[in-house]
Amino acid sequence: MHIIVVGMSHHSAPVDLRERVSLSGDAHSHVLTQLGGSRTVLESVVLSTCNRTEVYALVNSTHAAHDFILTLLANTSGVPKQDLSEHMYLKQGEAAVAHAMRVACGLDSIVVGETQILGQMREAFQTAFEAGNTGAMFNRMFREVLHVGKRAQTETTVGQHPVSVSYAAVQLASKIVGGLEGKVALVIGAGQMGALAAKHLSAQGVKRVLLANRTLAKASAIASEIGAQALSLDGVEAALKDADIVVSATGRPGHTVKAAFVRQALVGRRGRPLVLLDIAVPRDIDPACAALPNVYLYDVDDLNGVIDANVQERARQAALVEDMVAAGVRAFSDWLTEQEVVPLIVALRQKGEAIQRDVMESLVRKLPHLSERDQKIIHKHTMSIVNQLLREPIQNVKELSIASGDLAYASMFAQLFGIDPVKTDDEAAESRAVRLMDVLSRVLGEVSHQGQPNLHPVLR
Amino acid sequence: MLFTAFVAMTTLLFLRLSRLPSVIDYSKSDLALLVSWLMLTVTLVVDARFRIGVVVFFANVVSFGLALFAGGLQADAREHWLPAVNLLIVHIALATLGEAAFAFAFAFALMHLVQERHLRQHRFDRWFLQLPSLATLDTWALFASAVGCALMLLAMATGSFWGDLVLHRWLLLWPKFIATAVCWAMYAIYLGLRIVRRAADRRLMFYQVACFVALLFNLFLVSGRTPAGVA
Repeated sequence: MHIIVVGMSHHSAPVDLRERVSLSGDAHSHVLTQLGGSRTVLESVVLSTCNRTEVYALVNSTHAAHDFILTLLANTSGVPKQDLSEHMYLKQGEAAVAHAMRVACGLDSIVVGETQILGQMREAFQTAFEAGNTGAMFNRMFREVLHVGKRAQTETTVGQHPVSVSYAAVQLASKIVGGLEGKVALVIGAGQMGALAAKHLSAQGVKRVLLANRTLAKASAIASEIGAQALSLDGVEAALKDADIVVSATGRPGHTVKAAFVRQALVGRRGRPLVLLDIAVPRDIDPACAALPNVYLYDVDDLNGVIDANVQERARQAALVEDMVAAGVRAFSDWLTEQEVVPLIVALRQKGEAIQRDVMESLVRKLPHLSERDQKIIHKHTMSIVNQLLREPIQNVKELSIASGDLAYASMFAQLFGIDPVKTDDEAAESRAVRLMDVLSRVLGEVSHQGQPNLHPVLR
Repeated sequence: MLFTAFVAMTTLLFLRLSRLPSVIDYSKSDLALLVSWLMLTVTLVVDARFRIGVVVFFANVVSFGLALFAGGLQADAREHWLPAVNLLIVHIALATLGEAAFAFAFAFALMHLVQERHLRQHRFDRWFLQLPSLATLDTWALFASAVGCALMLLAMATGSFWGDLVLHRWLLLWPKFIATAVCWAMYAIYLGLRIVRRAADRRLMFYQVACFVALLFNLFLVSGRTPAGVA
């Protein structure tokens, strides 16, 4: 058995292809039904959002399942299979599970760390579960995937560090005045940069945007689009009194905002801070303003500094999420191994109990004078011997199997105790192959995964 | 790690309090430890729900400082208390909560000063990213100070009433009362200045820090003994 993901996203396909392959409503149900009816695919979950369409599947044969899923998506979307295969990726084993976790965490999204994808992943799993497309393995795997996604949201700030100039400006202003809601912003200059800044501030919930420009008609045209108030450059001095945030982007030589204007504007503000963001080159705002009380002046270099800090913090947070993903894969692998060891443990306990039962019967036959009380005491003590003998071997085989990630130790354990768990021919052959590879790697001194315990064969 | 610190402090507080002959027979060291524990508990509980992040760090710095004071004052003689225990317990509880509120206000003021320094010096590092905005810190400091002032006023009122009830005189000239009233007045001035202004600046935050230093001076260095001879 193998876990695979076949899919396309903004990393691998253009938007026109993504929108054709995207599955919604009936198409989604149709694909799930087809996957459910396939002999190759044992369990499946279909995730389809505006930026990705992915099929997660537990399959018998990777090659056959890959081909089946490609054909299914080609038939559903009407895109030729050849075109589709060029833009789709295939990941299997650990890479597939880790990919699902990265997607749930938002690490694979266009806006890194966005939280909507976790809800979409949960919905995709729920739909597949209700359609009967998932079994014990995917139920557990997606539980782990959603858990890691939730942890990334609550324990890190991976989605809170935007890296564009406009967001950096908003972030910087917000660090001083708090949220932008209810604030007054003055944008000086109605060129490309100024217009963009005015639109962005308006979108951030600023109560009033004042747009000042040398040509009042141009300012009025843009202001009417975004619900701002237009004024000429002569009105800047008066407008400064009301403003909490000033963004200047005129690009004209000389200082449009002089220190004397700002000093005058501070009278009567009663300590209310004023944020000056000078995004023009050459600079529009007199640098002397920075020395005034309760005035915070920043230029383009400062905004770049904020962006750099955000980039570094995002990388740090992404590394934390990657650690969570690795832990999630490890937990899933341990669970898979445990599922295979449990039947052996049950068989061993049954064997121990059977031996104890035989011994008791033999004793009762040879010592018929034993009272019921004596029999109970002997029964209790012989069971105690069985339990004490088995306790450590059972604990050790569980730990060794999880550490090695395969059934080599469990198989040896079964042979030592003369247990013969029933296996299909395929499983037996796979187990022998895994054991052979394991022995070879140990002989060659290979340390897999940088000394980390091996993962379960399904994840390799 | 924070949880370990919390468990250790809770254990220490429990051991200290369990050795007290009665609830009110505490030392300054016990009181400091209780305020410190209250701060740690509140920040941990709030952080578990709202992810206040770096606020926990600053609250812990203040809390740790108080715990150090607590350690240094262990040898202090315990107070000898008088009747009307219930009223006295109310007075102690109000004073303790008030001091915890002021300790929070101090932590927020420290954070404000650090963030303001980063913004002034254009230093955009992790501290800058993780610390809340100046406006937020200002609001929290104001709120905590207002709560502290209200609680302290009630504590002073109950303390005075207890004095009248038990000692049959108002303790207006008692050094502890005078020092506490001065601290309260300092905080009241802070609140007045802050309400008149629309936002706190660096000078006002330094003043807020000075208020807390005065409060510590009152808490640890001004004798809390009742006037001699009246017991």
